[in-house]
Amino acid sequence: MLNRWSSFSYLLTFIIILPIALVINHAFGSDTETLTHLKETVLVEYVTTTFILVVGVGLLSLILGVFSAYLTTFYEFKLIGFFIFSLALPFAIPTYIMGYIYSDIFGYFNYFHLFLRSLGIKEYFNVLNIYSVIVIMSLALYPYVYLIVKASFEKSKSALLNPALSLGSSRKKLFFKIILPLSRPAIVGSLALVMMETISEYGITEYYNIKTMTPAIFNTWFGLHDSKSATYIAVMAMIMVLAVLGFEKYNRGKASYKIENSNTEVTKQTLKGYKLYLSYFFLSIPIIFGFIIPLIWIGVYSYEYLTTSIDEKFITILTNSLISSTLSAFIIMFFAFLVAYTSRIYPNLINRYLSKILSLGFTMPGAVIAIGIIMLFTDIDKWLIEHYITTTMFLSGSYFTLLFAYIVRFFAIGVSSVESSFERVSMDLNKASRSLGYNYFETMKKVELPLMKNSLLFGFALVFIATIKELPVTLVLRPFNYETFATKAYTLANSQMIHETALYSLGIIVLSLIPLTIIILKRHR
Amino acid sequence: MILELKDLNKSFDKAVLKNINLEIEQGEIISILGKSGSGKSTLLNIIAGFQKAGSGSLVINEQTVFNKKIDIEPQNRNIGFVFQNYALFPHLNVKDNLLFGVKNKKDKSIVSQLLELVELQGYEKKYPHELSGGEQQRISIARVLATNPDIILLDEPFSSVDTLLKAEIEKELLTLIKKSGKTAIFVTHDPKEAMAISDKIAFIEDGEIIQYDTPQNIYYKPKSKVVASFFGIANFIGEQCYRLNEITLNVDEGMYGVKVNYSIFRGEYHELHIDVNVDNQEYPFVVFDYSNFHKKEEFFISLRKRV
Repeated sequence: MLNRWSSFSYLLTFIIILPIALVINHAFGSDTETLTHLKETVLVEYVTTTFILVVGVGLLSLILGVFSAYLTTFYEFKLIGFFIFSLALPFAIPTYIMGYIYSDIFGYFNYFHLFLRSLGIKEYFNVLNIYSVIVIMSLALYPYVYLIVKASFEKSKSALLNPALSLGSSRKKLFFKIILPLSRPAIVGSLALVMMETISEYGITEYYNIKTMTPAIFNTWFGLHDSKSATYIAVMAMIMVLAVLGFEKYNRGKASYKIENSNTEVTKQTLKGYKLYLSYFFLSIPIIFGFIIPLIWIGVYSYEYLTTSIDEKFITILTNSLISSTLSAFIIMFFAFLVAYTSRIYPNLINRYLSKILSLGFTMPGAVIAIGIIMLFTDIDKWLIEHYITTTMFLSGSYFTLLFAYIVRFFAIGVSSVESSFERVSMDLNKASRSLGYNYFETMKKVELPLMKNSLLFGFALVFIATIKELPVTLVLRPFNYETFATKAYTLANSQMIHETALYSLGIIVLSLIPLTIIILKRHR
Repeated sequence: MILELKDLNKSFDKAVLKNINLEIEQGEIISILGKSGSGKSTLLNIIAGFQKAGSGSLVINEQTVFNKKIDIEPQNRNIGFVFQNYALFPHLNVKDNLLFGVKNKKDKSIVSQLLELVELQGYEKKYPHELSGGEQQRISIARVLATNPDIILLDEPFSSVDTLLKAEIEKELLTLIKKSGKTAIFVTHDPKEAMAISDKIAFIEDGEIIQYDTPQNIYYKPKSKVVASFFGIANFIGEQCYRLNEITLNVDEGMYGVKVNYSIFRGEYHELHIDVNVDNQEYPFVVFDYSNFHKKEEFFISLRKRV
């Protein structure tokens, strides 16, 4: 018989997975005229461009992330604390904001070209191309690789470094033969996140006019009003992501990457001479270009527009961003906790896979989710009207729609942080509590929740940051006249009012930096 | 009868427990003994209610807690469980750990009573990480006793204890349980531990209870060669098992003549591998030689059953 915990989790899974299932179902069937036309003309270009972008961003993020993590984990040098902290900071700047900033800096009448002309160089370097997008996106997304791989390096450091060094391995050999292969799940996992974000990215690709699949989905749906073709492209984007994940799983085979915990102290090697300066140079690049320059730009223009932009409307946008991110992070963490707890106390085959199924939303481009939710809520609204329960489109375009979309999209972030913190709380504590007279619910309240407080806060912060930066879903599903910092910055940038975006970008960065700082400090401690 | 298991079965991919029947009297201390993977921990978890049996019935203190129709949750079985790693709640101090399962939390006197019982007075404010392994174990027993359970279940409670401390902690724990007058079921894979602490031992092999008896009987009258050899060196003439202390070595005369095959020096004694001649049939024996029998090729032995 189904217990209450499992029943609730199954119902939740069904509701969350429904929009994705609808998109997939809608995509198949007879080709529309538009789709045939797309296939004959631009579809191949969409796929190829997306592929190039994904590979480029993946590679560059990998180099920046892995080497930064390696240097700050296995070596000792002056200012290491500063670098550990600062390397994560570009995470607070959304990709599209970084895109707007660099398009401005490299604009014909702006800093870079003015400087060149002062040197007598008249040539114009147009940055609105795929290579710039690859660099900018890598600067914004490499922190995924850095943070996740660093955590894995930290774990393997004490367990493996001493045994390997005692066997006579050189540091180079150790890195390539032991550390890298053992951190493969972390590297691939973080790389998958980078790739998914790249496929899903809308703001920068649209602004730089890069013809990838996500802008194509938007244009087909909203420009050509062809939902079938849009969903077809969406499903293709989804298949691309799943193919990446599937390839890794197949390739990994039965290899084990489990590292036993060890508390052995490890003596880090101190970097000196040219190696130290090379490391400083390498580590400074992502911090300068990924955080400091964008922050200076934002600071300058925020100051310029401070008096004119901070008004009642700005406060409303601030409130909107804060409320929607806090609310969705809270709801996601609450549901994620329930689902993860269900699979903890009833670890049957279905329950073990629930969190994976519920995480599908994160593997989809935001546009796909938005489309699925529009389809779902339109159908529900039609049914409600047909059955005289309501007279208007009750759900479509409501705030609830937007919240629901955030839940579908970011559930994976919440559930993975809850699951990993459950791993650290022994199941014996749960059993002990039950043998002392408490049921599952009371045990959860009295034992697991207090022990996981910090980890839950960490998960909350991650979802909060993801939501505050989110653009495509918010853009499509927001209620009429509803603005967040992200949508406002996008609207202004698209109206060629780049400098006016600064204050809204600052809003995103400040709101992201608060939880991000807590995360970094807690991790470092 | 405080606990009665009838025809209990449990399968995962294969049968883990087969027709388990066990009856335990009030105040008895029982050990479930067996190799890793024999099903002993599963049995303990089924008694506690953490795992569900496939079939059979389970009665605790005259209340059926499991059968075809009934499956009472662990929190309502009135059992106490002591875990291998003690499972003290790390976010609670000793006092709050002890009061965790107590219904009337206002009655704080129970904390001092329990701390006195486990001889850890003044530890109320300490947190689990501030306690030694032995202290943690005593607190975990006290926490269980606080709820006045019908039965205490202990899952390999000495497995993480230092060998040097083991005997002392065994004695402490046994005294504590005896003092409380509670029924206790230990799970262990250590035969010496089982013999030291138990009134009865249930020897389990491949999910079946092979023998359920007193430590003396199970040691001197094992029902099978598997049971016999699990408890140490066992020599057989036919079905009869002879332990080392049932064999006397003689130079000139004895019940049976023996031939030495080889000897191994073990410090304070030599381990002799011999063939015993009984009615012109040879039986391989292992005996300990504390004098000079290893220098001889032949000598005699006498056998005398103790139980």
